[in-house]
Amino acid sequence: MPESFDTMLAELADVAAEAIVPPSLAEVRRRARQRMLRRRVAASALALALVGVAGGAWAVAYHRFHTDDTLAPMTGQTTASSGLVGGSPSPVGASGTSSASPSVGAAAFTGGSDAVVWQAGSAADGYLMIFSDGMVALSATDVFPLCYGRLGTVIAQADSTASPTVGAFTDTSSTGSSSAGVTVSGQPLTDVACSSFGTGVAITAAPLANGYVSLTMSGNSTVAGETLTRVSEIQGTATNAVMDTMTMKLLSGTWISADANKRTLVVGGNGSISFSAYATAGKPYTGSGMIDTAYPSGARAVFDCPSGSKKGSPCEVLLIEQTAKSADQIIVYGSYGAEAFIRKG
Amino acid sequence: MPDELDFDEFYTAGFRRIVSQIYAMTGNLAEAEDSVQEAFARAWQRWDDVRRYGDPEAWIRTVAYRLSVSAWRKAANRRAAHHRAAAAPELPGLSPDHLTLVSALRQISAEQRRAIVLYHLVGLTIAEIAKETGSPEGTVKSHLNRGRKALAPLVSEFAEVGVGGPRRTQTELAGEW
Repeated sequence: MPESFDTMLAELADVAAEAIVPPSLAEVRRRARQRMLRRRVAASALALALVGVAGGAWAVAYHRFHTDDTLAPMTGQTTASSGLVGGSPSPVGASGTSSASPSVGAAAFTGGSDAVVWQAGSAADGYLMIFSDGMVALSATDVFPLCYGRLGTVIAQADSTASPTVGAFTDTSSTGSSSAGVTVSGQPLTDVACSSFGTGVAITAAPLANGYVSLTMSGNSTVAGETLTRVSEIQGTATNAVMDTMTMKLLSGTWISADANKRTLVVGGNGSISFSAYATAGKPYTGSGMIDTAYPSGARAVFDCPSGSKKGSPCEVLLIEQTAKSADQIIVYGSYGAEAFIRKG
Repeated sequence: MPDELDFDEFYTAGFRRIVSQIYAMTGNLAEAEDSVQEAFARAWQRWDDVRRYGDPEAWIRTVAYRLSVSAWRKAANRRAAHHRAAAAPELPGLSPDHLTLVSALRQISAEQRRAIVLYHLVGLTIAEIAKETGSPEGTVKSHLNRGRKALAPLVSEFAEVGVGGPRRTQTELAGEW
């Protein structure tokens, strides 16, 4: 080994420099223009989406105002009955109850922009989903549904060209801190409830440049942080065009994950939903809740905390997307990513 | 409107050099090329601002490094398996000493590698590295010292720094580089 590390490092860099062919300046400028165009398109699409959401919210409010006397909204939450398994399948809609979920911001999944669904990355990286009604769903290790939370205020992108918005972010870090959850400085995620978060956990989100957001969790004796990046809509489901035109066809019955994990969802005709899974160190666990919101291409389910001081309050979230292929197949987004579920009865 | 002549000169003079620096920091030449190109594209969009910075090259290097690390992280899990199975392809024309150096650099953390490259290749001072990385000077010194200790068994120049620094596991190494 030569004595001069500096010289050797410089030689290595020279070899690398000689091995590359610099792109032309025209190529760099073309790339810059494409980037600028993409950002403008994204900003325009976002503006349109916000207008759509606002319009949809107004439409729903107007519709409810004029049809309240014909609706019988459900009250309370019930566990799905096993007697529904194998019964006549019927499309399931939203329960209409949201007493356990305080409203924040615009209503989610309204009107033609129902696909207000925000995607996260690979299953291993974990999710942070922020819905337009302020609900937050985030991954936690060894928890099948996503952990429930709420966003006090909307996260604004640091990107100056984008308006404040909500979105989904995926964890791109591979550090070992993800199991501790997430926290962000600046924007508190409130009401975070999940068995793996324990008590005394404060989570905040701070937008960084270029669509990134840093999440930090502090609580007990630990402080953990992650960096997540915003990504596009849910993958693996119907395209937006199809999603906008489909009618929600989530059928009541028993749904089994297509993989070897054999996670089970039981959907009741009244919007109740329960799950059983083996996710916590191989131990079986279950939960029950309600379809919180239904929209043309899917539904969101919220599960109550089964025990502890938060018993009965929202604790976990599943995002369910109908596939375009079959009414008997759905994609369920939990902490382990997108999983296909097949209806068995 | 960006000053194109000024930018053109800056690009021509600096592209290869910055790519080689990012390559030394990340170990992936293709990723380094792409991230540096992206950084230059971003610089061109705001050249009027970037040119006024004290050191536009540091701006490019910082943006490219962050882009490279970010893109690398997205693929880290996928690549980890490949790293365990086979070594990454090396540049043609590398001598055995260079290969040894590349191998040695792969055994230190990304932060240590960045600090060492900025100090020994780019020639920055501790204060300049601290400014570029956004870290306290003490942290930079720590990265340099620990990096040298880790390299000591393989780089004789650092032998006096000491040996016996904590060796990282194969899993950690795969995740870092």
